[in-house]
Amino acid sequence: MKLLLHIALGHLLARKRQTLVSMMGVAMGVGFSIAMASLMEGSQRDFITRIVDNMPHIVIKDEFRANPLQPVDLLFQKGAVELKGLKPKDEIRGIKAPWNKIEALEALPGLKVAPTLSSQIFLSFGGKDVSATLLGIDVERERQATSIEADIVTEGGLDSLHTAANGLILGRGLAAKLGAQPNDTLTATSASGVVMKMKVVGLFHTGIISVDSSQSYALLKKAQILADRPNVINLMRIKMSDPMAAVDMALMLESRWGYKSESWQESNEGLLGAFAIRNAVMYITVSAILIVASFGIFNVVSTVVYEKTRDIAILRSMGFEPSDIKGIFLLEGFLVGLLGALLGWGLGFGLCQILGMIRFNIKMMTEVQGFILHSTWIHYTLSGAVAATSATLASYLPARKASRLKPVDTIRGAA
Amino acid sequence: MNLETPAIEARSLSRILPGLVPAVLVDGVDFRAEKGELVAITGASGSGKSSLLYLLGLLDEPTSGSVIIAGQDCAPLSDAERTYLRLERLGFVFQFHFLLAEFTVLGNVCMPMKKLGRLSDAEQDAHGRALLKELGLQGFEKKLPEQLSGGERQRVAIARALANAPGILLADEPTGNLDSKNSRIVFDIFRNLARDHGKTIITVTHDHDLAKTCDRQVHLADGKVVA
Repeated sequence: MKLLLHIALGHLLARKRQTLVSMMGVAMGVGFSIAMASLMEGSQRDFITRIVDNMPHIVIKDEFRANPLQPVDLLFQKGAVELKGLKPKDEIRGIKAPWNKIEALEALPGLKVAPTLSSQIFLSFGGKDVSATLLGIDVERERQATSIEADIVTEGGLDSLHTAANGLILGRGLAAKLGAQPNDTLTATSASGVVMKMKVVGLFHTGIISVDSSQSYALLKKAQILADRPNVINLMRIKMSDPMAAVDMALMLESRWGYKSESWQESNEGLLGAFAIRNAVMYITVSAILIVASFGIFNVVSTVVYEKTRDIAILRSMGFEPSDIKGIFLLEGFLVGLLGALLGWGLGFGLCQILGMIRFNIKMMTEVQGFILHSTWIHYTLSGAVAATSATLASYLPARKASRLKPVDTIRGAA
Repeated sequence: MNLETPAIEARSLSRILPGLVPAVLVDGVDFRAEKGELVAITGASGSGKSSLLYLLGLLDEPTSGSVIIAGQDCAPLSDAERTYLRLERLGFVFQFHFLLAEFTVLGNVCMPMKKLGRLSDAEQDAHGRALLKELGLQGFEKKLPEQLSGGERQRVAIARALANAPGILLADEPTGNLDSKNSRIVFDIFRNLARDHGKTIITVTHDHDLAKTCDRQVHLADGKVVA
């Protein structure tokens, strides 16, 4: 092996410029793939982190996925039964016996529950009417189950809700729409027609535009009075110590209580699917770059084989086996791929540093101040391995051709 | 009659290239060379000299007949066994030197030793230097082939052929690209190797004057031994 490596290196070093160009081809492929993967994974992770940090991991709603089965359906489960003219019974919305459920949930390890009454309200201030979502919360539980307190940009945090009779914490975007400032008094009107004067006691900023521009917080009791739904809660927002277990836990809770239990993955299914498609597109693009680079290696190794026909003949006559000859040229491809990958790692690292320094401010679904990059050893290892493997594969055909050369034919031709 | 096992022997050796009109390169040749013998194969162009040499050197496979090296019949050997036999027992010198351009003179000479792997790196280095010294190439160790004259390159090629101390040296028109002075030097080396080191040397040559200096001449015509 040492001897084959010695000969392979000799061939490559003898044509430095050609070797360097091929290596640069691989390096470009590897470098850009690392930068692209870091960019994609960075934005994906940032988005998911924002979702996981700011949104509940499971939301239990006062809804059911399907209408309850009628007695006749239960009796003839396999029968061709069709019911017509059914009229739904008016039921009082809200989660039944919520505090028992909260107690049961809080008894489970790693779960924090924030009971909430979510309702739609109109906020009026200075002649402006803006529709908003009001979340009535239990401050202590909200603090434990969500990270909203960290997003409050004014003094006092969630406790500021206790500083006024009808305190209200607004999203910064919502406050901007209303033109309201802390300590301003707004008029809140609920769908049931109750009107309440509420004082802005704080502002929050999560970075998720849809939340910041439409959401507000008040004490649970006040929200129940405003919505005219005393003692009712319609959401249980659950934070888990292991957010990735949310899907299984949501399934379990739904099967137990029947209420629709939505995990954060289900709520953002479309987005997560889009990420998967985006990643697939990225890997296809990067693979294409590396395949193009492989053609360069094929070219180099083919040229070397053509130029080194005489050397191959003498090596064969000297006692080198066909597998040795194949090994030499496969090693050449591998070396170009490996060295190209090493250069590419440097290039990828440099590109990540440069991209990380670029600053801009775009408001899309979340506010972005610059490229968010996340490089892991997997990006480096994967791109390096793909480059080295494709380079070795690219050199396989010329290497096989070299190993099949008959020394006698070359020696006769060279005389 | 010599009863000692010949260094190399060919029995009814034939090589026919298949085709619409098959070309007979070597036609039922019987040949033997003893240890320490310098044999010249002569003949007109296309008489089958080089073809016979390649068959003797196991570089080509005969259509029929067999090559026997130091008593071992090579016909039943596998490709890998023939390759190893070449590495261990045979040395080749061609009309073109075939030195590897990327490696130094010493690197070229040490190449067969590295492949055989019997000596340590230091031993290979010392043996390579000794061979070069013996062939009058002391001080050329670190030079590249392109820095040498034609005669010097051919002497390096001889040193490389001798690297694994083979018993048999096969040379195909080794002086074909050399002037008369260098040609004489090469044949002087061959004579010394045969006489002083007991090497069996079989050389193909067009040069009748040089051929006459060999122990024996074998003349080929149309693939057959005629004298």
